[in-house]
Amino acid sequence: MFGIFRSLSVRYLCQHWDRALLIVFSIALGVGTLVSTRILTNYLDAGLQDTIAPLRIGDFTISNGEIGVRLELLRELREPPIEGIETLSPLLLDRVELPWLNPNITLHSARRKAVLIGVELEYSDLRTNLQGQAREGVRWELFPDFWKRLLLYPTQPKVLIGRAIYEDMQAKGLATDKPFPIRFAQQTTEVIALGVIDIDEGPAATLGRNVLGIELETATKVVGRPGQIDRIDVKLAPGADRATVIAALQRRLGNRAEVVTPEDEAKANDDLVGGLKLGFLACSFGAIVIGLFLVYNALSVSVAERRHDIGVMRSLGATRWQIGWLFTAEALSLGFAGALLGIPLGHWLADFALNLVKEEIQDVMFGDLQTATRLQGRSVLAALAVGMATALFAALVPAMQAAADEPADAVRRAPSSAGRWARLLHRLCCLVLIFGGIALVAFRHDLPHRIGSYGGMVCFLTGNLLAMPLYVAWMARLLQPLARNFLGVEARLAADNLLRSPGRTGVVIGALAAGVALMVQIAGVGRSNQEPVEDWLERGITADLFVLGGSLAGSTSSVDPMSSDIATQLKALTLDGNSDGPKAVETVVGLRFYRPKFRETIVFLIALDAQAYYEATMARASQPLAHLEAYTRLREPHTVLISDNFAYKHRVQVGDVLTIPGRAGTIDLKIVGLIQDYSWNKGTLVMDRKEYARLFEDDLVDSYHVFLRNDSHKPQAKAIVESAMSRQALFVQDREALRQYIAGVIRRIYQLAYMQQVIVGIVAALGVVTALLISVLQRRRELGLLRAVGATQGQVLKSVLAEAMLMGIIGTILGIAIGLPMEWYVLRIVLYEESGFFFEMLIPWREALSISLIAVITAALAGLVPAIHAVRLRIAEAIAYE
Amino acid sequence: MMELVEVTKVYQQGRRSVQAVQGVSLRIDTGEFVSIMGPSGSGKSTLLHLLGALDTPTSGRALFQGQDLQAMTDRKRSLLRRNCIGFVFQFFNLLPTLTAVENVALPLLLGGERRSLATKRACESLERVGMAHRKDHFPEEMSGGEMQRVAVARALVTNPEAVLCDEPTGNLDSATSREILTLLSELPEPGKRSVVMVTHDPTAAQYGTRLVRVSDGRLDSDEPISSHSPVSRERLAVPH
Repeated sequence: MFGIFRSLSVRYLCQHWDRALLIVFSIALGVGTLVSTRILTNYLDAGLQDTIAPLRIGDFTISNGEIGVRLELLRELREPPIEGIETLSPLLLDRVELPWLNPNITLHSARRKAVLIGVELEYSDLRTNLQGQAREGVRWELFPDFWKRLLLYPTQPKVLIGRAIYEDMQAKGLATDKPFPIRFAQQTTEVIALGVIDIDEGPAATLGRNVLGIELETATKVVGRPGQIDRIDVKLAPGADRATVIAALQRRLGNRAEVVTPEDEAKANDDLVGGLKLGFLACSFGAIVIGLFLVYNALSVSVAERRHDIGVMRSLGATRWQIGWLFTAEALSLGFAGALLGIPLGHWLADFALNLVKEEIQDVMFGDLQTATRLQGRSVLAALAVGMATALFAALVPAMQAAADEPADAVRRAPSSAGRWARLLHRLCCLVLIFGGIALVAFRHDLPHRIGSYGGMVCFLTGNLLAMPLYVAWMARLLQPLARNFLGVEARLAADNLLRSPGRTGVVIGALAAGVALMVQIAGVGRSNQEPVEDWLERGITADLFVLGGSLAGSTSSVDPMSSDIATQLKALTLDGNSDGPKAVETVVGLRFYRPKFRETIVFLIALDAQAYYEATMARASQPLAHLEAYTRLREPHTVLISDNFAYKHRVQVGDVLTIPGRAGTIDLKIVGLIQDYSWNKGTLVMDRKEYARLFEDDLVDSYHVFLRNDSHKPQAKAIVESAMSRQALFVQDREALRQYIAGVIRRIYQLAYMQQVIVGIVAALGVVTALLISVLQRRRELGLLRAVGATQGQVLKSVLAEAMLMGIIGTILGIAIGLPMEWYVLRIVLYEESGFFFEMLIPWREALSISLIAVITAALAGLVPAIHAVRLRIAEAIAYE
Repeated sequence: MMELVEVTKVYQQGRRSVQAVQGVSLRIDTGEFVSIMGPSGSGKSTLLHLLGALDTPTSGRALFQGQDLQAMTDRKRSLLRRNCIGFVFQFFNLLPTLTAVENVALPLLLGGERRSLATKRACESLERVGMAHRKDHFPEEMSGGEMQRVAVARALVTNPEAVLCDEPTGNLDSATSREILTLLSELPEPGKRSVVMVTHDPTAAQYGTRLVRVSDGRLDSDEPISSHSPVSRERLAVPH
């Protein structure tokens, strides 16, 4: 069989390399989308792991989420020991600045930072060995003179520096045997390095050796919260019963902390980004399905073109199986080539996508997530398998058609009788998918989370994609009278041709429609939520300046906190520099962010100086947000405001009491008002910062909203604030910068979404080329006849291009007809159920018009190649009988 | 009015060159019904294509009303086919999506004729071949003979100076063949129109007024057909 394959298929593919290339590209794009999606979800998972429980060692953790636990809890858990626990590893993790490595502290990019890891270090072990292998892939090496450093600097905290920091110090000629400062929240501590650590594997490897290892208790002092750590990791003893140990631990902990298993973390992760991941998966699934149909189309050309050859082979004794195998092998080889090309393409797409959001992500992560962007061997194999399976699946029908053809029919080029059962099966599949999808959506509340809303949408759209040939036939029938009466003979022939072969063109029009629908939906959703969010920002955030510990990207992440003393310094600033001079600043509102878990969901808590915020915003905003006066009720202790979407998501109302984890145990907060807030898709809580600091033992601030004096001295006041904050190595941004940053984030997020749609568009354009090539092949004699009866080359060109444009127009009409209901569905069902945000649906007319033009022009351009092919037909050959 | 002068046509089949026509000279005047006969592969269809501006000679000259076809642009040749030449093929070559009248009107529509006028002229042409009653039928609803009549109507709709037929009865039964051949034999008009028919059927060839025999790409003979031949007698006896 290989001989036949080599002499027939390989030669055919070499002769028609352009068509083979189309198939390979179609598969490559599908596989590329899948690979990029896989990488993006890996990155998302790794990022969330880094955020929720970075460097997890052991089987589960004890924590209170971000807020941490008290160190004394560790002692209580150890004495008396709980049976079944092998180790309890306390951990403190924070990002600190290394100012002596910062030549220019005013530039964010130049700020050298490191991850401070506070762990239990046994110096007695270190002293007996100069180097060694500790747990979890960490290697350490003491400096030969470490004992001298211990003697010379007895009071300075001792640290082990990561290899990257050590090399950086050496490169800059800085002494490693002298104390050096580290800074956290404007608090500077001098430390002395005792040795170097390398972390080449294990959970800490992502930190890229950019770490400072420090004894735990000392670390809590360096970061200004003595006796408070982030979490305790628990490792089970061999053979211990997990459930029994968890129960015993939870009994001992009471409500002071929670045992968090990897399953709990996965659930929280899924709750936060599961919808996004499903969206990615659905898009890549869509690209694969569209690619599959296009490969089917292209292989159909191959079968149609070689029907006569097949007849000859069958006449010469080839079995049906041999014919079927030949086409299947051809598809598999093309699938393999497509998948090989798709893997690097997927990497490139993922890199491109991640570059759009890299700044935001890296600013809130401890580790470097580069490794998460590399595809594992198993995933590479899976990508190859998907590529080949796509080709195989696409080849099934054409191969079966080729095998089923009667040799006499094929030789005579009589119409094939195969395919009636396939038409019935096709209609049945469409109905099952469409009605199945509707049923899933209708009964979504009785099904597991997201199965109904997402699964229903995927089923419904796939069913409609499959049904495209039927829709195209209907649309062409509708357009035909228009073409007959109002358009030239070329357009009319094109419309007739569409009507005659809806199966061939339907899939391609479906791909075009899918691209248009997705773009219209994204544009619509974007417009529907952009306007209210911008309005909310405009009316809710009215400060002149924003003082931050890091960049705007990390401003809500709590990774670069500031001291609460900064507020006092800001308020004391005067225009003339004298303490009793005119004040530069009217009001300062400090904000601290915290992401506690509420009913298994991570929510967002904003602690702000409520009264100051209320008064300043009322004074500044021309149309303050509704319910702003609710902020005044936060003066009462143990009170909280909740966002509308929090109330919807968690089914709570004013007067209810919420319980969220605090450092020393759970804290009850009474809901005293509802506010509008779009900060967090799982709901936002707002409380007064003083009350927060008291209840949660956390006085740090993540950002300051500064209201400058509102008169002609405003520019001067701004310069004074910027200068003062720069001296503190803090960053100051104005409203315009904030606005531009938010607009940039929105733009980049939509670029990411559009990227996948562009791929669908490219696949669809490739489809138009193949569909029209089939059309030209099938209409060879007809086009020859047209030329024989006097049609000019221009008229033939126009006819093929008119068919391409009609495909574009029908695809666009169907795309908009599907895209607008999809927009409604995403806004009112998916987004509302996912986040509780309620947005009015706005129709993106301008964007829809641009998308329509682009779709029709793309289709027309894609029609050029087949049109030129048609023009070059030799008339005598085209109308020849054999 | 149609003339081939020392025409040669060479086709490239892969690496092989095939000489389909070798140094043929032939002149056809209006009013003539020329039958071209020869075995398969003799080059008779190629001759027809060269006469009808469907193809151009490798060497020599093909003339239509004194104009050198090779010197014309593709567009001019298209216009010539559209306005001055009608074609009838063995497999009818009607567009399946168009009705009979629409198929007939096609050359007019391609020439930019108004739809109403094109339809009117197409109806007249169908009337002439006796197919007016089937004007709104699609090809798939017609018999082979009916389709060929429609094809003849299409060939005549522009009132061409030449009607070129390539095995017009090759796909028809004998009774229908006779009808079509009779119809074709009525078309030549001195000073107005000629008919050229390629066939390998000696009986069909007898419907012409002149018989050209071809073999191996060359003319074997070129002689008038006697009006006393049995077929001619039969043809003349058929009431119209």
